[in-house]
Amino acid sequence: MQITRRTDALLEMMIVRLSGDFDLGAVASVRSAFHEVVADGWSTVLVDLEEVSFIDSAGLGILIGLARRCRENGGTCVLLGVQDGVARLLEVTGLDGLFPSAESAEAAAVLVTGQASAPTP
Amino acid sequence: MTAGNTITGDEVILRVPAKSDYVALVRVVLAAAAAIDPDSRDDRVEDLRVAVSEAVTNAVESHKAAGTDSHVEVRCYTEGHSVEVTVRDRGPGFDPDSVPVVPDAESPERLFFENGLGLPLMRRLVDKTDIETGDDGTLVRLVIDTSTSPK
Repeated sequence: MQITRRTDALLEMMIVRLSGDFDLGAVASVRSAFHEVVADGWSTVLVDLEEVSFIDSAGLGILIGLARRCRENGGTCVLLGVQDGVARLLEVTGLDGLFPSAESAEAAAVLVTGQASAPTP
Repeated sequence: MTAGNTITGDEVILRVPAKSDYVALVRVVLAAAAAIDPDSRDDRVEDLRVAVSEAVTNAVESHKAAGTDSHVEVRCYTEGHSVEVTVRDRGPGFDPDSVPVVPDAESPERLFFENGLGLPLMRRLVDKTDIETGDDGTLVRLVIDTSTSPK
């Protein structure tokens, strides 16, 4: 699995983009990346799943752990670009209620702050 | 689907190393085998793919916990619209009744349960899940009719 971190300076948000199957083989590296992000002080983290077409309980468990740490720090974990297969698993497990989801970082910013983010210059 | 040693449907057998890298390989092969039936539904094959992934993941972790380098054996029988998958490991076994119950999603405790979703997911996604477990390992049997709507 490929993991890419980037900071959206305008929105002041951390975005972690995952690419590939989010299963047992990806758990160690993704958990490590999430730990680093939280350790760096980010309490609200956007996880971009647009290029994740498969997830199972191993991946869901890692997302739950991130959501808990975000909440403990007063923030939240927002999922971006959730694909059909991932959405089905979130719905079947009832976890869709724990994870706000958005189509874009801008939409996530609105979701998190309750107000529109500044327009891109 | 099987009567004694007589196999009436098609059978695919995989023996894979108990390593996380091979879970994806099993998923690909099993999903492809299930999709050979022209009446199979994509969403049901996807449900089977997840359930198989859960069973093989448990097997790999069981071998890791036991420190054994035995292979995990996966068999897939297809007959008509029915697919039966068995996953056999040689781990220490477990008590299915002792698996913690995952709290409801609305519960504040839910975020403290990162594990334990695999078994409920298997039971939720396929039509039938049987587990035989003992000191010599665990056999998980998943049965699904891929031509029907998701549960």
